Amino acid sequence: MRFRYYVSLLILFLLSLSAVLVSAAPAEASAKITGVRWGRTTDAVTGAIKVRVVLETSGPVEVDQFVTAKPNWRLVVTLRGATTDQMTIPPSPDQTVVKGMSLVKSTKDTVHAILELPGSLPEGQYKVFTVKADPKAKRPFRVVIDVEKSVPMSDVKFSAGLKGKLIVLDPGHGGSDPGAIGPRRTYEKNLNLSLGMQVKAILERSGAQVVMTRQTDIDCSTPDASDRDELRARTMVANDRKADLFISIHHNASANTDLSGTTTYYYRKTMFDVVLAQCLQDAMIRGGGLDNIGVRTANFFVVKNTWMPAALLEIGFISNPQEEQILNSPAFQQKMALAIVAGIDQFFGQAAKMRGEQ
Amino acid sequence: MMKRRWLFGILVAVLLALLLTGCVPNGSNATEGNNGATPSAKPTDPVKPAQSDTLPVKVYFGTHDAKYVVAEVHMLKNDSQLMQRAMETLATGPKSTDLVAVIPKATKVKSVTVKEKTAFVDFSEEIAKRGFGGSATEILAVGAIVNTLTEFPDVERVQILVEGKKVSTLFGHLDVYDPLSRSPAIIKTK
Repeated sequence: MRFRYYVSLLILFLLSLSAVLVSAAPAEASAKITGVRWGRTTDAVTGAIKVRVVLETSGPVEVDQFVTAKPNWRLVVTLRGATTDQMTIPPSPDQTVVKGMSLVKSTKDTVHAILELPGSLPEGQYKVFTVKADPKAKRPFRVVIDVEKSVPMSDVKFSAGLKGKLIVLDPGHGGSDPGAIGPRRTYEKNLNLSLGMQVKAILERSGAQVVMTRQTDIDCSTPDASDRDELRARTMVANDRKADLFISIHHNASANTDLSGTTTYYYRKTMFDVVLAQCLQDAMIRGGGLDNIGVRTANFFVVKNTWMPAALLEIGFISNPQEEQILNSPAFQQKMALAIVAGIDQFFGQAAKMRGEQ
Repeated sequence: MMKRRWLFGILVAVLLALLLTGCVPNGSNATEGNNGATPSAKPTDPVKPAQSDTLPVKVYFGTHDAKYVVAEVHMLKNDSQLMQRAMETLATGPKSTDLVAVIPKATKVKSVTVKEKTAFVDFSEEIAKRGFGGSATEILAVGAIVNTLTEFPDVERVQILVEGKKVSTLFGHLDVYDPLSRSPAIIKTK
């Protein structure tokens, strides 16, 4: 009688234990994948696009990952100590980064999260990590997968030399928009145009065809148009004509009047943009002698929204009294115009040697 | 007598089971971060835990070489206008002479609202005053606005508005038309 009582209590204890275990799911049991969340981010400065997948689990899991090559580009993330039920996975927020994901149970306590990719995924362009549960904030254990958008492969081929190339030059600002204004009232828009016209003349002498977004002090759309329409009017000049290159000419400015130097900006859009930016920057530093601030990526409207390789030059600081004077000098402008043309020529030379994948 | 012993036994068994598996809170403070950045001083963590009416908030300003933004901690009044105050501090400028303001002083912050993790910050037209700066300043301005607001745990993206409307750029270069996420690369950590 007494024995039966204790056995019953033991059974009751075990039942309660398992009931609590199932609801609380501690580390010993496989953690269940309870949710899938997607996100897409745009870096405020570089414009780099990233897709994030968050797998919520009922407990801690260990992760490991590998990438598979052509023809089935995949990022496979292995979750050890995990299990999954049939669940609907929402579609990817950006198919150009991750086409989709499936969860595949491989063993009793291993699940593969298989991310289908549109192309190859180089080392350093993805990150997989786990975040511990935070009961206070009511957040479960999470596996986070970040995938950065790759520069797509290009089948565009360039030939060396300037002859026959169609180049769009974009003197920044203009008309109702003066751009930056120097301490001696130099308007950036005027310097941009003056330099742009000199680049045009040299390019044409070298056999290239040049289209300017503006040739006088005007807005490219209408004076009262929105910023977006104005910039779109400039990119359309290049996109409509299927130009080979787009080069936007600017001069920098800052509240700190000591700042000096030249930068070339580009957007990681094709495999050629960085090459173009580097060729132009190198040539301008060699030819002009201003400080080298380097080549940088930026989410600039005109370089992002043109379909061909593009760069935005920021030549010197108009806000720096010494540089304002240099930038106004016809001799300096001539040197820079020659340097920009040399940079374009070098780009075509290098691009002609580029084939297939980066 | 028999009945009471059973009841007692059941109670002990269930309690024991609960005790053995009971919720041991996980004290970790790890977060997903905002695009890999670690928000260290969250504005919701008061310095004085009890009834603090000001909070330390990280506000970003530019470096003199115009290459980076750096966080400067400002004590701001802890009320529903905290994010707006953080944005107003951007226009007021930094305390440190090592840093520079990145948006025009005359800029007014009309409102900051958060909807589904996106902060909508509405500036007066002074922010887009032509002639204030070039690309260098524009990058710092956008980097500072977005990185300051994404320090708040509820904010993952920032939609910049000028006079209530979406704009393409502030000074003519950087695309700010759509919501933007944190930019870790522009932050200089000491």
